[in-house]
Amino acid sequence: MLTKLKKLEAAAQQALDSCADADALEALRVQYLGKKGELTALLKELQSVDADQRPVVGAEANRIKVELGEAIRAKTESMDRQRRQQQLESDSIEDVTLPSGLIMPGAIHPLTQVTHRIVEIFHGLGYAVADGPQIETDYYNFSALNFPDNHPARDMQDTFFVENGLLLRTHTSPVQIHVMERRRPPLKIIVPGAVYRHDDDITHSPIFYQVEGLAVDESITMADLKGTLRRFVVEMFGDNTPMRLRPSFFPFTEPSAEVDMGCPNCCGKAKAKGCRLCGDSGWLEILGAGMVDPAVLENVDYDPERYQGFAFGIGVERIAMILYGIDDIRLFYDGALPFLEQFA
Amino acid sequence: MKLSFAWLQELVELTVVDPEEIANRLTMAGVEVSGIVCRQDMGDSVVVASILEIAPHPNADRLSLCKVSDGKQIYEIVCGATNMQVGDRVAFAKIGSRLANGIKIKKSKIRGVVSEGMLCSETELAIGEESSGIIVLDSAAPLGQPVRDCLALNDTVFDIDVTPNRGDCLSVLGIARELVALGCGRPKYNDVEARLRRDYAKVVFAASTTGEVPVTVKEPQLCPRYMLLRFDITDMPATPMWMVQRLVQCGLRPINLVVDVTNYVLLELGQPLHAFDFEKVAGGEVVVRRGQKRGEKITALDEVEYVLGPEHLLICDKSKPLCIAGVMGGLDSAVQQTTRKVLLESAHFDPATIRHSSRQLGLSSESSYRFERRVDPQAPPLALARAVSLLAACASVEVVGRAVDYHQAGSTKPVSLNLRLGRYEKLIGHKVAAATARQILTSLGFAVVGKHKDPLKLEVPSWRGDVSREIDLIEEIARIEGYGDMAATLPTTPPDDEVETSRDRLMPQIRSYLSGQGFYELYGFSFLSAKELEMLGRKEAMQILNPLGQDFALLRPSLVPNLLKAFTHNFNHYRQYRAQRLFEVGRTFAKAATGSPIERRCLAALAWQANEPAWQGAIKPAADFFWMKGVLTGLLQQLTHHTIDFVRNDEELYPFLHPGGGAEIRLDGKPLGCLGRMHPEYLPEGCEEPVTLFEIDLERLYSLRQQVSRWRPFSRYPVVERDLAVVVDRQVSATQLAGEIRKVGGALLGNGNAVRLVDQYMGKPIPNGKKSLAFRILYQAADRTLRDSEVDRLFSRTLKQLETRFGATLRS
Repeated sequence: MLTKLKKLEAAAQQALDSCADADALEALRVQYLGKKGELTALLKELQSVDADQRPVVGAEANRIKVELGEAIRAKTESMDRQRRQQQLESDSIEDVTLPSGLIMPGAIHPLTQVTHRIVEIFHGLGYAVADGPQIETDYYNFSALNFPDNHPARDMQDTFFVENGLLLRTHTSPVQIHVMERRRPPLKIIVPGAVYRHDDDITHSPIFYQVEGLAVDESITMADLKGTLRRFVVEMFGDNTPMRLRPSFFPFTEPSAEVDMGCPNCCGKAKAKGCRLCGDSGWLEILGAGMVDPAVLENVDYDPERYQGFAFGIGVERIAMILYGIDDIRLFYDGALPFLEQFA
Repeated sequence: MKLSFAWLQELVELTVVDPEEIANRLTMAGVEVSGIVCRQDMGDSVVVASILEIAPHPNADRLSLCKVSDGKQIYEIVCGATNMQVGDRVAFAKIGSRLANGIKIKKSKIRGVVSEGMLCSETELAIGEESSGIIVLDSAAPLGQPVRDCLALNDTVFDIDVTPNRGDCLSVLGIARELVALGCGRPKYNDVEARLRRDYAKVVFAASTTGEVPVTVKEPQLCPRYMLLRFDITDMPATPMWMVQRLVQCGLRPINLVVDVTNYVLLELGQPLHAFDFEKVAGGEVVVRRGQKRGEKITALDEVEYVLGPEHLLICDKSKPLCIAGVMGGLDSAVQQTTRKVLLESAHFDPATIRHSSRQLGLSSESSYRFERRVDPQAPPLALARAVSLLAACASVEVVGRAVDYHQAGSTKPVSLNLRLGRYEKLIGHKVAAATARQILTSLGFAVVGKHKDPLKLEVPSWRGDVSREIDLIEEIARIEGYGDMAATLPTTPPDDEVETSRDRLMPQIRSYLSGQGFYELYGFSFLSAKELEMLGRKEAMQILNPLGQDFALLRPSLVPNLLKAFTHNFNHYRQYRAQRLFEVGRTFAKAATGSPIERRCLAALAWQANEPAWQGAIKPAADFFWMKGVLTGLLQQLTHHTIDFVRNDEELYPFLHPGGGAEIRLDGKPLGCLGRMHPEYLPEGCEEPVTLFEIDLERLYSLRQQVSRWRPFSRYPVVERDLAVVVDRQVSATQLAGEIRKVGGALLGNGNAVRLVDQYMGKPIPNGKKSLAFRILYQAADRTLRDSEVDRLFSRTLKQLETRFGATLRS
């Protein structure tokens, strides 16, 4: 009996070694260990073995059964692993630098990006966003803002006239009037939007963008205007950017100021060195501002003895040109991809 | 405005002499100096010389030989000019000198004769445009003196941008006053004025209306002051070089002595003057009146004929207009070289009237520019006296009678104002001492009335027409003090009530979604042409009355033309881009039936993809109708939960779309915009692949109430999958079939992805006019595992329903 077992073990081992795939292994398992398998058959013969031999033979038979089972499982697993490995190898990507084809870059226009930054700065200071029509009446664009009829101040803003006695707004300031007619102080608003002037050259576009600001309350001072603009310049251009207010004239503010920032190109040091950005003055004009003129407050029925405040208008293109070093305003509007793709 | 530094110094004794510093002080007080030009220093080898002898050149008809002397030595010069005479003083460039145009003078032979230098013209010295003859200098110019000094060429010229409220700064005198107020010097203009008053008191300042020439002012409101002086001039000598030089520096062309003097006074005092040839004044009288209703004609000094009506103020003689008041004189009555009897006008006109005339006629002059910005109403007598003094110094002038001085009663009464110091503090943010306020205002020419310290009572000087309110005084103090020392604080006003509600959340979302899909944002002009309007299939748009050109004559009712324009531009110029994805969010303008404008925010996007080779592993980029539909649907799903439908553009509401390749987008059943292929007719030449686009009206999305949609419980039971392929008539849409399938499936097809089209097929063996559509249907119950038998029943009911409704047959 033991000899039979030994023979069977040797035969099984040989068969196992020559197994090449999972099917062969399974066949082997059935052949020896299955219900009708050779080892199972031998085990059935165990009863005919002498009683004193039986434990030894039984133990031997069991050992073979366990070991053979284990060996088959181990080989199956190893072959499985090998197969998966081969699969992975055949699946591998040789050149990960090949392009996907899916991603095409797109971009938000630089003027949107700059407007967004400006609006966010003022949003942080508690300003609400307001909006108004681009086709306006003479009243909202001029008269209510203290531009008298037949006054040369109107020459500052060359106007496009639209049928039915209307015009394209030359600044975002008419929205001041719309908002003040609708609301009472206190108010702090910011108005981003398109404006139009009858102009077209390298530094002027017939359409351009402004961000108007207006704050009216009982005790807002010119020092508050200066502090607010200082904050804007610092957040937009960095901590050490110089800024100055210079007296000027706008019909709807008094006192009025032009606001200059230090030229970021030459930092004001390029005296007579030909700085193309600031023309060697060391300063760049970036916005106009002032205290709301009492006549404007009266036009919206605010008592100028009680209410006061400031207004300012930032040129978005101007800021964008300084930030990105752009020297031709028309680039913003002709939709050329070589330009637009730089702002992704 | 150009301003000579040397001239300025005649009216103010400066304590600050550096031109850069002067410019800075003015700029920081609101009188912006935008440029400083230092006249090129030509050295001292161009000198004054006298012509001793003129002889013809032996070898050239057009040249002459001149012997000149600089007082020390005699030189022989070859000269091409003919305008000089023996005895004239000329600008002589010695050998070795360098001219303004960069030419260096060398000893040279001209047609065989040696020239020991050169006689210069205006252009060669860069002081004017005259190049046909040489400069003839003042006969008093000292021989041997550098021409530079003689003509004050060392002068510095400021370019000043005067704001429209400060008409008073449009003169040397005005800037001198500013500098005095800024503490840069002491005034000399008071002495000049006193001298003029003394010397010309009898002729000009006497309050008389009994001159030689009768004057009638019919419009005292428009002409509150009118002065007229008659004089004879025995001959018209050349204008002195120094005066010509100053006029040229300031951008004016020299004409003749009388006209040059009027211009000189205009630049110096800011008061425009006008000179008439008295012999051309019919009837010897002057009438200031409006133009006649039937229209009158005048040929002005610019040699253009203008038609004048009642809106224009005119200076006339007995029968005809002589001059468009304050704007430009007539050619006929202009003073010429031969004129011997002159009428000199010095007047004050209403600024709005002059501005209206000037704009209406499209005619602007140094005079109208100043009058419309308001000239000092007290200036006419002084200007007249200054002109006479200048003329008398240059020519033999005899004043005939006294000056006529018409002025409207009460027109010269000074304005008085109160200034509360507390008001200054409340507005500016810091205190101003009474003494400081007083000092600043008096230095600007304001007169303090009475002894009261607060409020301070002040009289406004006649030249400051822009100051009429307390706020104007506050500004004057603030600007002279300077904004530099002002504190910088933040308002204590709390955040605005509307700070959160006013935020636009839609636009940022649209922009970030589309840029994430590879689209570039554009900014286009709001204008379009009639041709583009026609392409859009629209009849009307708001019209611009003064467009930049016919391509920009209308306001755009759609963003599509701009996108197409940008696409075409890129397609033609930047061939390296083999795909384009563009979008714009912006205003569109329509015209209501009433004619009033309607502004709407819109979004439009365009995509094009060239047929490009790609490696087989890459995802092939697309830009066809269904790709674009996917982009749009994805966007709309982010923006709204309302129902979106696509309907074929059969009615051709959007004629710019391909006739069979367009759809109308509907939101809750109402039009939202369009989607489709661009009509090939509008595509640039060579563009073979389709260009797809969509445009939607954002106002509709803005008007939807933003609401948070509540979550729905979802099923955790398994899905049963069925495929259904049917053959139907071509005009039956997939959406109709899917809707019907859902209807039959009811709650078991509640999920958004439950019915999905997986194939559409036309062609053999499907009969003509038919198509096969295949759907994958996923049945799922919320509360149990579905049995196959249950799904089978539902499936056959679905098929039956499709048969009855659409004549569908199961595809075998």
